[in-house]
Amino acid sequence: MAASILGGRVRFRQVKIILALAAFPLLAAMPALGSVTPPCNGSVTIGGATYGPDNDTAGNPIVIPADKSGVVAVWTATTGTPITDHSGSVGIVVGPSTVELASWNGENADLETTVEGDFSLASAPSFLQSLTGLYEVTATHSGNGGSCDGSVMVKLEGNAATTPVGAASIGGTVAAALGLAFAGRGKAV
Amino acid sequence: MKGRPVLGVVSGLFFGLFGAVMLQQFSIWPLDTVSLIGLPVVGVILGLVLAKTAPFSKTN
Repeated sequence: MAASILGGRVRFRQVKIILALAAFPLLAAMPALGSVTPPCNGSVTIGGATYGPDNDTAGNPIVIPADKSGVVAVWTATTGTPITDHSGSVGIVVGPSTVELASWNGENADLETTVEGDFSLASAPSFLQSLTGLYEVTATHSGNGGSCDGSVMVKLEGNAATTPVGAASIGGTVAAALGLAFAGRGKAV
Repeated sequence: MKGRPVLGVVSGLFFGLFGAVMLQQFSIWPLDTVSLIGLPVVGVILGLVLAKTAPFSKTN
Protein backbone atom coordinates (compact mmCIF):
# COMPACT_ATOMS: atom_id res chain seq x y z
CA MET A 1 0.00 0.00 0.00
CA ALA A 2 2.78 2.34 0.86
CA ALA A 3 4.14 1.83 -2.59
CA SER A 4 0.79 2.72 -4.09
CA ILE A 5 1.22 6.32 -3.19
CA LEU A 6 4.64 6.55 -4.65
CA GLY A 7 3.45 6.95 -8.17
CA GLY A 8 3.46 10.72 -8.50
CA ARG A 9 1.06 13.61 -8.23
CA VAL A 10 -1.85 11.90 -9.94
CA ARG A 11 -1.80 9.02 -7.56
CA PHE A 12 -1.27 11.36 -4.64
CA ARG A 13 -4.62 12.95 -5.46
CA GLN A 14 -6.11 9.50 -5.80
CA VAL A 15 -4.79 8.63 -2.39
CA LYS A 16 -6.50 11.64 -0.89
CA ILE A 17 -9.78 10.46 -2.39
CA ILE A 18 -9.24 7.05 -0.89
CA LEU A 19 -8.58 8.65 2.44
CA ALA A 20 -11.77 10.64 2.25
CA LEU A 21 -13.77 7.56 1.34
CA ALA A 22 -12.34 5.49 4.09
CA ALA A 23 -12.19 8.21 6.72
CA PHE A 24 -8.99 6.63 7.76
CA PRO A 25 -6.19 8.92 6.70
CA LEU A 26 -3.80 6.18 7.36
CA LEU A 27 -5.47 3.62 5.16
CA ALA A 28 -3.60 4.68 2.12
CA ALA A 29 -0.33 4.81 3.90
CA MET A 30 -0.72 2.19 6.56
CA PRO A 31 -2.31 -1.04 5.41
CA ALA A 32 1.03 -2.32 4.28
CA LEU A 33 2.44 -1.62 7.70
CA GLY A 34 0.76 -4.25 9.81
CA SER A 35 2.03 -7.72 9.01
CA VAL A 36 3.77 -6.00 6.16
CA THR A 37 5.79 -7.77 3.57
CA PRO A 38 9.09 -6.05 2.74
CA PRO A 39 10.12 -3.64 1.40
CA CYS A 40 7.13 -1.44 2.35
CA ASN A 41 7.02 0.52 5.58
CA GLY A 42 5.58 3.67 7.06
CA SER A 43 4.08 5.47 10.01
CA VAL A 44 1.30 7.86 10.92
CA THR A 45 0.97 10.31 13.78
CA ILE A 46 -2.49 11.11 15.14
CA GLY A 47 -3.00 13.31 18.15
CA GLY A 48 0.60 12.97 19.22
CA ALA A 49 0.65 9.17 19.01
CA THR A 50 2.75 7.52 16.32
CA TYR A 51 1.61 4.23 14.83
CA GLY A 52 3.50 1.70 12.76
CA PRO A 53 3.58 -1.89 11.53
CA ASP A 54 2.90 -3.32 14.98
CA ASN A 55 -0.60 -1.87 15.19
CA ASP A 56 -2.23 -4.90 13.64
CA THR A 57 -3.97 -6.54 16.60
CA ALA A 58 -7.23 -5.90 18.43
CA GLY A 59 -5.31 -5.01 21.55
CA ASN A 60 -2.99 -2.60 19.79
CA PRO A 61 -4.98 -0.74 17.15
CA ILE A 62 -4.55 2.60 15.46
CA VAL A 63 -6.88 4.88 17.40
CA ILE A 64 -9.03 7.49 15.69
CA PRO A 65 -10.52 9.86 18.30
CA ALA A 66 -14.27 10.44 18.46
CA ASP A 67 -13.80 14.19 18.32
CA LYS A 68 -12.10 14.65 14.98
CA SER A 69 -12.28 18.41 14.81
CA GLY A 70 -8.81 19.83 14.42
CA VAL A 71 -7.18 16.41 14.38
CA VAL A 72 -4.68 15.93 11.57
CA ALA A 73 -3.00 12.67 10.64
CA VAL A 74 0.56 13.09 9.41
CA TRP A 75 1.75 10.08 7.49
CA THR A 76 4.76 8.82 5.60
CA ALA A 77 5.28 5.71 3.52
CA THR A 78 8.31 4.16 1.92
CA THR A 79 9.43 1.31 -0.27
CA GLY A 80 12.96 0.04 -0.44
CA THR A 81 12.93 0.08 -4.22
CA PRO A 82 10.63 1.77 -6.77
CA ILE A 83 7.58 -0.28 -7.75
CA THR A 84 6.43 0.57 -11.25
CA ASP A 85 3.36 -0.35 -13.32
CA HIS A 86 1.59 -1.12 -10.10
CA SER A 87 -1.93 -1.86 -9.00
CA GLY A 88 -3.58 -2.51 -5.70
CA SER A 89 -6.62 -2.22 -3.50
CA VAL A 90 -7.70 -1.53 0.06
CA GLY A 91 -10.68 -2.94 1.90
CA ILE A 92 -12.32 -3.83 5.21
CA VAL A 93 -12.42 -7.42 6.38
CA VAL A 94 -15.97 -8.71 6.95
CA GLY A 95 -15.95 -12.35 7.96
CA PRO A 96 -14.22 -14.51 5.35
CA SER A 97 -14.37 -11.81 2.67
CA THR A 98 -13.11 -8.28 2.16
CA VAL A 99 -15.25 -5.30 1.14
CA GLU A 100 -13.13 -3.26 -1.23
CA LEU A 101 -13.02 0.45 -0.49
CA ALA A 102 -10.83 1.55 -3.37
CA SER A 103 -8.39 0.32 -5.98
CA TRP A 104 -5.70 1.98 -8.04
CA ASN A 105 -3.01 1.52 -10.64
CA GLY A 106 -0.23 3.60 -12.13
CA GLU A 107 3.21 3.75 -13.66
CA ASN A 108 5.32 5.48 -10.99
CA ALA A 109 7.40 6.94 -13.80
CA ASP A 110 9.29 9.10 -11.32
CA LEU A 111 10.56 5.98 -9.56
CA GLU A 112 9.57 7.38 -6.19
CA THR A 113 10.17 5.39 -3.03
CA THR A 114 8.94 7.82 -0.39
CA VAL A 115 5.83 9.89 0.00
CA GLU A 116 4.36 11.79 2.92
CA GLY A 117 1.41 14.01 3.64
CA ASP A 118 -1.30 14.93 6.07
CA PHE A 119 -5.06 14.58 6.25
CA SER A 120 -7.65 16.40 8.33
CA LEU A 121 -9.98 13.85 9.91
CA ALA A 122 -12.76 16.40 10.04
CA SER A 123 -12.87 16.47 6.24
CA ALA A 124 -13.96 12.82 5.99
CA PRO A 125 -17.53 12.15 4.77
CA SER A 126 -20.16 12.76 7.44
CA PHE A 127 -21.56 9.22 7.48
CA LEU A 128 -18.11 7.94 8.31
CA GLN A 129 -17.72 10.44 11.11
CA SER A 130 -20.37 8.64 13.16
CA LEU A 131 -18.91 5.15 12.81
CA THR A 132 -17.45 3.45 15.84
CA GLY A 133 -15.83 0.12 16.48
CA LEU A 134 -12.85 -1.99 15.51
CA TYR A 135 -12.06 -2.59 11.86
CA GLU A 136 -9.45 -4.77 10.22
CA VAL A 137 -8.23 -2.93 7.14
CA THR A 138 -6.25 -4.86 4.59
CA ALA A 139 -4.51 -3.84 1.41
CA THR A 140 -2.37 -5.20 -1.35
CA HIS A 141 -0.07 -3.51 -3.83
CA SER A 142 2.12 -5.07 -6.47
CA GLY A 143 4.02 -4.22 -9.62
CA ASN A 144 7.41 -4.40 -11.23
CA GLY A 145 10.00 -4.24 -8.49
CA GLY A 146 8.07 -5.76 -5.65
CA SER A 147 4.81 -6.34 -3.90
CA CYS A 148 3.33 -5.52 -0.52
CA ASP A 149 0.33 -6.71 1.41
CA GLY A 150 -0.74 -6.43 4.96
CA SER A 151 -3.33 -5.26 7.40
CA VAL A 152 -3.82 -2.96 10.34
CA MET A 153 -6.44 -2.69 13.02
CA VAL A 154 -8.27 0.64 13.23
CA LYS A 155 -10.31 1.64 16.25
CA LEU A 156 -12.86 4.41 15.76
CA GLU A 157 -13.57 5.77 19.21
CA GLY A 158 -17.04 6.82 20.28
CA ASN A 159 -20.06 5.66 22.26
CA ALA A 160 -21.30 2.64 20.32
CA ALA A 161 -24.52 2.48 22.36
CA THR A 162 -25.65 5.74 20.78
CA THR A 163 -25.13 4.65 17.17
CA PRO A 164 -27.91 2.83 15.24
CA VAL A 165 -25.76 -0.22 14.57
CA GLY A 166 -24.49 -0.38 18.12
CA ALA A 167 -27.94 -0.01 19.65
CA ALA A 168 -29.36 -2.63 17.28
CA SER A 169 -26.60 -5.06 18.19
CA ILE A 170 -27.34 -4.66 21.89
CA GLY A 171 -31.09 -5.11 21.39
CA GLY A 172 -30.61 -8.09 19.10
CA THR A 173 -28.21 -9.79 21.46
CA VAL A 174 -30.56 -9.35 24.43
CA ALA A 175 -33.56 -10.59 22.43
CA ALA A 176 -31.63 -13.61 21.18
CA ALA A 177 -30.45 -14.37 24.71
CA LEU A 178 -34.09 -14.38 25.86
CA GLY A 179 -34.86 -16.76 23.01
CA LEU A 180 -32.10 -19.06 24.18
CA ALA A 181 -33.48 -18.96 27.71
CA PHE A 182 -36.95 -19.93 26.48
CA ALA A 183 -35.42 -22.71 24.39
CA GLY A 184 -33.98 -24.08 27.60
CA ARG A 185 -37.33 -24.30 29.30
CA GLY A 186 -39.22 -27.57 29.34
CA LYS A 187 -42.12 -28.10 26.99
CA ALA A 188 -45.57 -27.84 28.46
CA VAL A 189 -47.08 -31.26 29.11
CA MET B 1 -35.31 -32.97 23.69
CA LYS B 2 -36.82 -31.52 26.81
CA GLY B 3 -36.77 -27.95 25.50
CA ARG B 4 -37.37 -26.21 22.18
CA PRO B 5 -34.65 -27.09 19.67
CA VAL B 6 -35.93 -24.95 16.77
CA LEU B 7 -36.13 -21.89 18.98
CA GLY B 8 -32.71 -22.75 20.34
CA VAL B 9 -31.10 -22.98 16.90
CA VAL B 10 -32.68 -19.76 15.64
CA SER B 11 -31.99 -17.84 18.83
CA GLY B 12 -28.45 -19.18 19.04
CA LEU B 13 -27.74 -18.18 15.45
CA PHE B 14 -28.91 -14.62 16.00
CA PHE B 15 -27.23 -14.48 19.39
CA GLY B 16 -23.93 -15.20 17.66
CA LEU B 17 -24.52 -12.77 14.81
CA PHE B 18 -25.63 -9.87 16.98
CA GLY B 19 -22.94 -10.70 19.49
CA ALA B 20 -20.27 -10.51 16.79
CA VAL B 21 -21.54 -7.11 15.67
CA MET B 22 -21.71 -5.91 19.25
CA LEU B 23 -18.13 -6.97 19.91
CA GLN B 24 -17.06 -5.09 16.79
CA GLN B 25 -19.04 -1.97 17.64
CA PHE B 26 -17.56 -1.85 21.13
CA SER B 27 -14.04 -2.31 19.73
CA ILE B 28 -13.47 -5.65 21.39
CA TRP B 29 -13.03 -7.86 18.31
CA PRO B 30 -13.28 -7.08 14.56
CA LEU B 31 -15.77 -8.73 12.23
CA ASP B 32 -13.42 -11.45 11.07
CA THR B 33 -14.09 -15.08 10.27
CA VAL B 34 -13.66 -16.13 13.88
CA SER B 35 -16.43 -13.87 15.14
CA LEU B 36 -18.78 -13.70 12.16
CA ILE B 37 -18.78 -17.46 11.50
CA GLY B 38 -17.54 -18.90 14.77
CA LEU B 39 -19.88 -17.15 17.17
CA PRO B 40 -23.11 -18.11 15.33
CA VAL B 41 -21.92 -21.72 15.22
CA VAL B 42 -21.25 -21.61 18.94
CA GLY B 43 -24.66 -20.02 19.43
CA VAL B 44 -26.42 -22.79 17.51
CA ILE B 45 -24.61 -25.43 19.54
CA LEU B 46 -25.51 -23.58 22.73
CA GLY B 47 -29.16 -23.45 21.65
CA LEU B 48 -29.22 -27.17 20.96
CA VAL B 49 -27.57 -27.97 24.27
CA LEU B 50 -30.05 -25.78 26.13
CA ALA B 51 -32.96 -27.39 24.28
CA LYS B 52 -31.67 -30.85 25.09
CA THR B 53 -30.96 -30.28 28.75
CA ALA B 54 -33.69 -27.70 29.43
CA PRO B 55 -31.94 -26.37 32.52
CA PHE B 56 -34.59 -23.72 33.07
CA SER B 57 -37.47 -26.17 33.40
CA LYS B 58 -39.65 -26.10 36.46
CA THR B 59 -38.93 -28.96 38.79
CA ASN B 60 -41.48 -30.66 40.97
